[in-house]
Order: sequence, then structure tokens, then C-alpha cells
Amino acid sequence: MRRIIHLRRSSRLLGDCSCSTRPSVSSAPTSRCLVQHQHQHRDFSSPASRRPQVPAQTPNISRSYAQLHLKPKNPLANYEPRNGQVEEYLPEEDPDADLVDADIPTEIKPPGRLRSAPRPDDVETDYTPALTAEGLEEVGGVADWWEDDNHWSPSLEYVGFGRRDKITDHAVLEALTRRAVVEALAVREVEGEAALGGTWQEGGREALLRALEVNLVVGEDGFVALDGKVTSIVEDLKSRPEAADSEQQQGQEDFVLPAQQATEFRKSWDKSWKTISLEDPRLKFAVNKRVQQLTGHIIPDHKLLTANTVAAYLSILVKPPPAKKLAEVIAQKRELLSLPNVTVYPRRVTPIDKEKMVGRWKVIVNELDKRDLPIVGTGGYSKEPERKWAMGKA
Amino acid sequence: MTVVALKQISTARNGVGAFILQCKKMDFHYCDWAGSSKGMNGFIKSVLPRFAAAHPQIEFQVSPRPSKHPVIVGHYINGKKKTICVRNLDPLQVLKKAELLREASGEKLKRTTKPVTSSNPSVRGIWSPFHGEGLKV
Repeated sequence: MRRIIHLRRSSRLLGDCSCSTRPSVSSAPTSRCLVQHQHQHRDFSSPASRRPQVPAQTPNISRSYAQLHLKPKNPLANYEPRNGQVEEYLPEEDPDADLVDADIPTEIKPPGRLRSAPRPDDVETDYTPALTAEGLEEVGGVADWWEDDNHWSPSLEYVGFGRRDKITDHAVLEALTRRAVVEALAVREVEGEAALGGTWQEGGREALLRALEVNLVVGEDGFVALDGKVTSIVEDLKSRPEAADSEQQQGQEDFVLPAQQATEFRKSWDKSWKTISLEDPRLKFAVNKRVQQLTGHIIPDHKLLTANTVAAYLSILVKPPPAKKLAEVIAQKRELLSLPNVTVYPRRVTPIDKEKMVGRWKVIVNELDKRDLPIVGTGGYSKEPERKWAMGKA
Repeated sequence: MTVVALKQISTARNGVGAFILQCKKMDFHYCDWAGSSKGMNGFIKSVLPRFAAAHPQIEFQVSPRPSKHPVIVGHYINGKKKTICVRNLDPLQVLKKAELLREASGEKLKRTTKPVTSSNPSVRGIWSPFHGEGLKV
């Protein structure tokens, strides 16, 4: 009688067999080759090897992670004859044997070893197994393991460079752009151009106000002079490790300039600061990076290329407000609405609206209900075919 | 209450003694986004208030028709309506179209071939074979 080896192995992996003479997937390797592959490529069968390696804190981590996706250990659990042919089950070796224990420290908490419930035959109690799953409590499972915050460390959360919530107020955006320009110019003046690409601290309220109070004097030749505490501004940008962990410092970092205060600042500034040149790519890069850090806005490169002055940069950064709708303008002016013979609708007047205006819609709905027809839409009914036939079409 | 045509006992002579404007309602449809509605939107904003105030006998309805060209629809007391598309027109050109619809009768346009068109019947009346002396053969 013919014997068929039943292997739980994907044909894709078998197709890559080096001992196979034909490289095509459809080529059938020998049974010996299959057994060899089962030993050689055991690590490919485990899902842990197909995805990026998860760092493990304990030696059991990678082993138990792989075990989660393995089939039950009972080798005959999946045995079933197919098409009347007798199959021979080829038992696998212990899947834990050849897994390499990674000893990488990590702050994630992986699920523990997989435990299986004892068979009903092995339990020496009055246990009666249920015949249906209805009403049974669901226990165990690791499907939502990584959804639990207790299994993650806050240090693993993604922290972006810019603000998560973008600043949209025009005055605040303009004020923060001025701050970025002042800080970039201050760094270039004090520490030179090489320091423009450094890492700058976001800074709190004091640093913000200190930068906004600096006066920018733009000469006719385009030279910009900073009138203020330039050195302290540069010091504010540097990281201070001793104060990094304090909660007070953290609270100051989240300070957002109020819109009213930003408007007052904007009124106090001369407009000449918007003519400052950003032709220098290092300066432009520093300003753009700082604006991204402070406001959360990312300006695409092709737009950044055209911004050669601060005014041009602001025109890209500060979006104009969306145009008002005509109905809103009419409602604001009140000129049309005061006339008794004029009606203004803010949205499209649909056929249903027209029926409602003359009080016919209720009647239509009642009649459609009586006939069990859809109120809105065709309900899947096609047009009458008789018309098509009369036109001589098929 | 909208204006309706009078019950005809005799032939109507609109303008002889009294005049009833045939246009009873005008719809102005515009689009907030499309550029072809630019002139129409300007007309509605700046010209329509005066135009509507000057014609209290006409009902005006302003409503958007998104992603479509702007149109003016005139409704007439004979039950018919006329539609004019005013795409890409400036506000004064839109005003001309609105005046055209206001002055229309609502009837279908007919080709005039005679130099004089009169709706007055002959003073001699309609000929009848049962009246008069008859024609002797």
C-alpha cells in the first residue's frame, strides 16, 4: 500500500531546496530531502523567525514566544486519513531544542510559557466536559497581550520630534517663527554656523519670552543685528541634564503661547523682520527644523526650496483661512434675508425638499409604504425593460 | 399665495388697464467652489438685494447647486419655466439675464413672420353658416 508522508511544512520553503535539481516550486523533492529540511530549516517554521527578532529579557522569552504559535504537542491530534489512503505521521522533535536563547535586556513583559489544560481522561475528578461551547467562560489567550499598557514600558512609546498637536493660530505661528529665526541667528552669531545643526531644547515660557523680546534690526544691505540677551538665548537651547527629569521642567516644556499674547507681540514688531534672507541653506535648515519642533508643521522640501525670505516662509507655513461660503456671507450681511420675498438655503434644495415645501412628501411616503417600495433610491429595481424592447434593443 | 392666471371669461389683454408680471418666481443656483460661479456669487452678494427689493411681486429663492454651473430659473404663471445658464458671466451680465427672464412671458419662443401681430379678433365676428341670409347656389 502506498504511504504518504504527512508534513506540516509550507511548499514555499520546500521549493527553495538546495538539493533539488529543478528550482521551480512545483518540483517535488524526495522524502529524504523533506526530512532533512525539517531539521535544517526548523527555525523558518516558527513565526518568531519570520518577523523581526523580539528582544528577550529572560532565556524563556523567545522560546515561549515561539511556542505560542506552535500546534499542540499531541502528534496524533492532526492525524486523519485522506482519500482512503493511510498516512504516516512523522513526529517532530522538540521545537524548543534548537531555539537560541537571546539574552537581551528589555522592558517589555512577554507572556509566559504556554500551558495546556489536562485531558479530561487524566483528571481524576468528577469533571464532565461540555458538549457545546455555548455559555462557557473564555479564559486565557494572549491575543490582546500587547494591548495592555502594563506589558509595555513608557520608554518604548514613540516620541516624535515635533509637536503632536499642530499649532494653527496665525499669530502664534508667526511668533514661533520669529523665535526660531532669533534663535538660529543667535546660535550662528555666538557659536558659529557649525552649531546650527545641533540638538536644541524646546524650552519653556521663560526661554520663549526671552527670544521674543529680542529686537531684530535689519540693515539696508540685509545684515541682521540682534538686540537683546543673545548669550542667554543660546544657553536656553542647550540641554541641562540635571533639570531634565524634574516635573516642573516638564510642565514648562508644554507651555503654549496664548493667541492674545502672540497678537500683542506681533503688533509690537516692525515688519522689516520678515525681509530677513533665508538664502543660506544652513540658516534655513535651522529655522525650519526649529519651527517643526515648536509647531509640529513639516514643510515639504519643494516648497522650502522657494522660501528665500521669512515672509515667503510664513506664507507657506501660515495657511489662509478657508473661504466663507456664500450662504454664510449672506447670513452675515442680513441684506437679502431682510426682504420678505427672498429665501436663502444654505444647502442644495433637493426634490424631497421641494415635495416637503408643498406638503406632499408625507403622502408620497405613505403610498410607497403601502406598496412596499423603497422611500429613497431604486431599491435594486431596474428600469422597465419594455421600453428597451420597444426601442429594438436586446 | 402665488400669483395665478385669471379665469378667462374674455380674452386677456395684459397691460390694457392692468398689468400682471408673468414671472412669479426666480431661482438662483450657485456653487461655492467652482470658478464659473464667481460672477453669479458676486451678483447674489451685491446686486440681487436691490433687484429683489425692486420686484416684490417675484419670489426669489437662492440655493447652492454644488459642482454645477450657475443657473437662473424663471417660473411663470402659465406653469412653464425657463432656465438660463450664467457660467463665467460677470455680475452685470447675470443681471441682464435676470431681467430677460423677468420680462419673458413664459410662452415658447415663436418665429414672427408678419410685420404686425395682433391678438384682437375681427370686429365683424366669426362667420357662421347658420346665421345671415345664407348663400344661394
